[in-house]
Amino acid sequence: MKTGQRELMSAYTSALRTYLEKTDEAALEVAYELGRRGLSHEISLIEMATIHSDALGQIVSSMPHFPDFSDMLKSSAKFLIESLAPYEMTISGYRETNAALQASEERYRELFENANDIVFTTDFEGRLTSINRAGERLTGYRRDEPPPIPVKVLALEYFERAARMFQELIGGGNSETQELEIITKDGHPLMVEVSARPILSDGKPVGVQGIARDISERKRAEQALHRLNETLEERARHIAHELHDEASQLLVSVHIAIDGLAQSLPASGQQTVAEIKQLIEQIESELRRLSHELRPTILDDLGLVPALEFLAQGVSKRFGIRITVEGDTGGRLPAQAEVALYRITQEALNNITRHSGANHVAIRLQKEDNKIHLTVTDDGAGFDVQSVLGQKGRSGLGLIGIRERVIPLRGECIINSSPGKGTEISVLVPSEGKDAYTYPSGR
Amino acid sequence: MAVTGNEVRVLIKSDEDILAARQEGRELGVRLGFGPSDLAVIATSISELARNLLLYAKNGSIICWPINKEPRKGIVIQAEDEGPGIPDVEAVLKDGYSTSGGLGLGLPGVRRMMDEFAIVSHPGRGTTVTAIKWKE
Repeated sequence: MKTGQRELMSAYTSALRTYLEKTDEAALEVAYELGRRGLSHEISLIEMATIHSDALGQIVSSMPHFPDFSDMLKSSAKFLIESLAPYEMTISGYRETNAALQASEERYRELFENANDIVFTTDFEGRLTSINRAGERLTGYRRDEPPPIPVKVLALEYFERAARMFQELIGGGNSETQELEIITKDGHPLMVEVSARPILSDGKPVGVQGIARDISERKRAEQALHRLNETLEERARHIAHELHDEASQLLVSVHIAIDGLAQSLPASGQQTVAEIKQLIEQIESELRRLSHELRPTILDDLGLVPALEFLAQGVSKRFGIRITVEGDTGGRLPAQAEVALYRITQEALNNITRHSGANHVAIRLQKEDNKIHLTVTDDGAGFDVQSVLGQKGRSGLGLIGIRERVIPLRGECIINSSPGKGTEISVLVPSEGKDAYTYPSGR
Repeated sequence: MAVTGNEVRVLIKSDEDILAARQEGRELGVRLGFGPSDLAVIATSISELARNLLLYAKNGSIICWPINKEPRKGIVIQAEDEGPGIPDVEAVLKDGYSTSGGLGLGLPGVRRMMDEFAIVSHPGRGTTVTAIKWKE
């Protein structure tokens, strides 16, 4: 027994004896004082209870006659409670801890419930174990719905992708964000972007938790952009055709008419006619160039690389820049990809000739797995990418146009540039597979 | 000692007054039907608040009265002084601030034991500490 404990024991015994003889507030105040003293001597709650029990034993054994136990026990309990009350002040602030814990749980619950995205967890079999309000609202399924929900939820064509993702997750690994289509309870399709990770317990995966974002708006915008690009291409093809075929035919007629006119003119007029014919030839060649830029038939007929070579030759000749085209695509690409990559290169060259003052441009094409990698690199002035992309005026439009060409192809676009360091535009688009180019006509 | 309506008021000027305040508070607690452990908590809170009065304000009052806020009933314990006041109330509610040696007694201890707790202090003019224990 500690010294403090022994002293407390004797003080406690005498105070308890006094209280049992006369149950008044003064004795109870002593009990409180003893409890407080116990606390400051680091005597634990259990040690205090032991002191009480020993003290009571001593008092009873020293009593001359058999006491009235019922009354005595009641009184001694009151005394004990009084002496333990100061401990209530310190019991590691358990009330506060509890309140703090509850408040924190409440905050997380609110975050979970009020999120605009679907927040969910599933067990090992892929059955939903929890879903927030947004999840209920968007899918139409209620959280108390009997399992198994996921089988019904996924659109059939996305089932394989989702299953692959789930396998990775329950293997304990992380998975890339996936776009999946789910079918709501009332049968509507809903495009969501799902990012998920495994729930680990002692390092072992026990389920999956994730967030699914409704991306139907974004999908609609992408599809609208895609259709707009298609329409513009179609218009360009039409105008190119008109310029090339109709206008050129007319100019041929003008040639013939002028030749006829020349015969009836004296020799002095021949010189002027020759000048006029030369101007008409210039118009013809300008028309050919315009028509080609609008929609190169060579792109449709021979493919991307010959079209890029032809484009490079033209720009090189007009602006005196050395332009090289390297690499190939390993065969023809889907028409959408060819057009997009051609337009991106065209826009890049446009920017280079207008702003960069470059001497050399390298266009490279490379097939990487089932993707095509296009880079356009120049040694020109360069620019600050963030500030140019942030501009609302015309100068940012070219770059934005490049990015928008890439989006509907589910490709990636990286623009690398800084003042004085030249510019590299790097574009990666899928070259095959239904992933890349299936575009439903819109819902 | 003075009683106004349901209110019990005990002036605290010395240790003996603390005993009287405990007595009054406990009797009111008994009348309101509190059980033994709550009565011990009420008496302990009165002791702690009264000790504080003597220590920091030299003297003051302990006032107790019943509170009836449907559906709950309880007891209010108030310590009132015209002492120097508490410049930083947040600080005194942190454990380890007081002279009780960081055991979590004193004001933070009373706050933990009781169900509701508030301090209003005007430096130079005094302090009022109010605590409520609700009957379960």
